Amino acid sequence: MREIAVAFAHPSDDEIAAYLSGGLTAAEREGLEAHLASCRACRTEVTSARRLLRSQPKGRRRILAASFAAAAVLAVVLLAPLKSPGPPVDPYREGRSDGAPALRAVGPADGSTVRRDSLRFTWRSEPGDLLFRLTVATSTGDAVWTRDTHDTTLVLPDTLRLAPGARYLWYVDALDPAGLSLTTGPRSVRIAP
Amino acid sequence: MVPGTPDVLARLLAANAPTSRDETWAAFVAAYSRLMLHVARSFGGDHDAAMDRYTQVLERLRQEDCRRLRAFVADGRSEFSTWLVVVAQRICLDHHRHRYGRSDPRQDLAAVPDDERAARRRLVDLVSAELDLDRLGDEGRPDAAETLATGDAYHALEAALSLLAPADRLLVKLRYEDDLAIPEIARQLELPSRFHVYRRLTRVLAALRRALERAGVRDAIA
Repeated sequence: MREIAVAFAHPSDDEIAAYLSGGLTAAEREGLEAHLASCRACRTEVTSARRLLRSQPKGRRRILAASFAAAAVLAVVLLAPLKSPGPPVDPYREGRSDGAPALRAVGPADGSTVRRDSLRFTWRSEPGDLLFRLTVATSTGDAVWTRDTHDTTLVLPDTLRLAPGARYLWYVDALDPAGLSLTTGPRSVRIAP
Repeated sequence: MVPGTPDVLARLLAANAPTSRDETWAAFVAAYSRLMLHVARSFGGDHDAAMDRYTQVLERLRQEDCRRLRAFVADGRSEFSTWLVVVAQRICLDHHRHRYGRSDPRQDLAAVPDDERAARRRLVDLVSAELDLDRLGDEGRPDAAETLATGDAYHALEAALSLLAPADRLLVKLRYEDDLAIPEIARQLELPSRFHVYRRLTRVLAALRRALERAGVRDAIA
């Protein structure tokens, strides 16, 4: 495992980014915080970076509202019994008059089984320059991890424990330029034993 | 493609021919210009100053075949966009220092002294005020004894602060030296709520009081 900078060495770009993302181990975090407690310049840098991430360009708050809406849809999907007959209705195609999904989950494939160390979430969107929120939840819908990102792929931090053999749900939310909420809808993935 | 590396970055770093480099660079800028502008603007100044910093960020990222961007490690510990904010901020700060000297435009330089010793003294003064050590002078002692007692308390508090766990020491610095609001401290230390911050501060201050009592500064703590 990579050694974190000792208390008297200024942290690298990677180390600060990992700290801001919650991606450090407990020992690494302690080492970095020991440095921050003694280095005002680095402390200012970290505080400022965190403020910048929180105040990212407009659309963030609306993304959060969209994620609540998506979570509500997820709850309905999980709790309501399936009904037939009639054509299947995909609740996740809202906002596109041509019916084509504007936000599409790529991987892992729905219902697949994946090894924890090779688990990587990928999606595509049109347009591409959106702020996305990835949520990983238990099979009962309780969120275990969320992350906002402008990227279209995310890897879970090693420090996040997922139970081998368990099934999890994942989905991505976003808000398109027209203000319409987008979501991939829930996909399930099972962690290989 | 390395897991966690954004497509637009991976394509940029894989491009060989000059034409494809230009195209992939343009795509990278299109994807992240808003974020980099956000960082550049945060350093204040007028529009020209912000654009100057933004240009500097782009130049430094593209230098030497995108050497700085190639340093991003997609190990799952952080997102690329978070890493980019950190890097862009550092480039802007370097640019500012290069032009104006070593000051950081985001710091209130009048509030905290540069000299480490003076900064330590200021922190002890702030924490001692929180612990109400000013009441030392209220006991009617002779001036010399009062001075000695105050000095003992000061040194004992300084020693106690240096013995705190790193996270607790950081909490004290954020609260009393950087004067951050409680909700912001909660985010910085990844505590669930401001109440957790208050509780932790109370615990730390209680520990400092006990340290002072052990050092014989008993009369100050009521």
